[in-house]
Amino acid sequence: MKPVKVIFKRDFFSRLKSPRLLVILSLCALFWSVIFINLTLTYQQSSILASQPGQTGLLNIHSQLMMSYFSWIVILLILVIPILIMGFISGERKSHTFELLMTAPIHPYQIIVGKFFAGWGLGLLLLACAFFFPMVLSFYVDMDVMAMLSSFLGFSLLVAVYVSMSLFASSLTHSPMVAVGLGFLLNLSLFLIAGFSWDATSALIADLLQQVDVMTKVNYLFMGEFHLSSIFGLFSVVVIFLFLSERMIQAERWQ
Amino acid sequence: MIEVKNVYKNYGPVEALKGVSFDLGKGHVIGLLGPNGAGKSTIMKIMTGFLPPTQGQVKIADIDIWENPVPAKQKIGYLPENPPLYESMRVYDYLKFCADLRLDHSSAERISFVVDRLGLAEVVHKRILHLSKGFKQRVGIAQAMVHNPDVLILDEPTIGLDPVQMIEIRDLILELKKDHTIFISTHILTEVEKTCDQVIIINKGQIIARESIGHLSKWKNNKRVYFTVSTKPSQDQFDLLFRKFGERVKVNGNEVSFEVKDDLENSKLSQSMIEIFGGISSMRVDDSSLEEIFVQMTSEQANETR
Repeated sequence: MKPVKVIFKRDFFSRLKSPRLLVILSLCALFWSVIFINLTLTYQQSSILASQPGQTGLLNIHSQLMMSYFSWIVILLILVIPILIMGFISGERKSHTFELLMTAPIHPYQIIVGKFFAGWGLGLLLLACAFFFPMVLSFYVDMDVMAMLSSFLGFSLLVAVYVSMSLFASSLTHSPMVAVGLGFLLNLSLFLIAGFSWDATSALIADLLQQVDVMTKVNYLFMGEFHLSSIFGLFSVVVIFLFLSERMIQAERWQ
Repeated sequence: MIEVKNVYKNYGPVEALKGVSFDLGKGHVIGLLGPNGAGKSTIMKIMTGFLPPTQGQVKIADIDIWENPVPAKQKIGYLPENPPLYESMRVYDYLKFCADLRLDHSSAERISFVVDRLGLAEVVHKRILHLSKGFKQRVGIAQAMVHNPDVLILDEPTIGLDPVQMIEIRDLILELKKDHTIFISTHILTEVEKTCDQVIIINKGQIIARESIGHLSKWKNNKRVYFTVSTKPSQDQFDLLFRKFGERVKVNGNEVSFEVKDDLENSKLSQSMIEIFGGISSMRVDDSSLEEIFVQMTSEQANETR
């Protein structure tokens, strides 16, 4: 496991020290803070209206406020994670350090796993920014702690899926910019699969799409519904894309 | 230490290597010479396990690099043509990263050893980005030897360096020879003459010669003997020279040179020169340069192919 740790440390800490990450984190934090404040104010007004006599009463903060906020987190993650991951493999090729890794006495899968953990670590930092605002809110209002924990788990796994897909995109090309584009399209495709699985008329196709439908699985976790099958499904997607990335770097040597 | 057996490599329809075989014992410096596109880098990439051969086998210390890549790669240090440097890292951090990738135990001792050996002490805490090309090349060599490999494979180690830096790297290679088997690819022939014990000449994916540096001259026996005379030869002296030696003589200012078949001719030539000019200022013998031998060998192969 030592090579995995060594590669994780280099990729994670070298990016942690880069000004680019600071800029990305700041912009994301700014974006999410604006969104969160707006959603909270809207929720406050809706709650006041709902608490009027003859209305439904207090609104559920998790389903009314947090679920809307989560969708904004997802939107930004789709774009930002490929930007964070773009140079992980394609950048190594560009700077000729890919040869250094591939001629070191380590297995190629260790390179991919080390890079995946570094990317996931960076993704979790982004999540920490996103969850900072709900955490502050939780000091003032009662929130469903279990639902929040389940949501955080869901986001952690979604970030892992996005990172593995972006890593695969980075393994396909020598250009970091192309890797961003491909990663974005792959991440976006998860929404398409979710859409197709809901609209599918054939039971067989619907069943098949549901098996690979990441967004629905994540949504269960966001809503506080903890299913082992969802976790296993998301974990499987991560493993598949890491395997494909490893195959890609191996295949390049045979071309 | 290194055994390359009947290695073929095809890039699609292009045959980059056509049955390359050689072996190399411990403690030698061997130079791989060849024109651009001859297959030098390809053979090196196959030896390091970066590229798979289409056919054939490479063994490092009796370990097949494709069957057991991890232990085989442990014995290799590789400097590719473009040094594989993370430019944003500091030299020490970079060397630590390379050592940690390859060593099970603590790397601090080995890092300080290579830093001393390669004269990197003054830049060890600088970012690689800010180093001169010579220092970058040294850092590239340092990463190749940080895990104390038995075999060092250096692809064009002096490319892009100024003459002073080239000499430094050459001296370093000669020093490293004591502890490592070194395999160098280059197209700078003087580098081979000065650093290598043996040379492999490769052209169009095939080995066309493997010789010790001393034996290479057998490929071209003719030498030139140069005499310097005090004044430019007069027309009479000129005519006399051509009558006696014909096409073998060349006059350039006050330098007169002759093509000779063997050393025995030298004394006869000296006598003739003294007779014609009444004395000579200096005399020197020039062996065929490695460049000439290289050009001759590669062109001979081209003619045979035709």
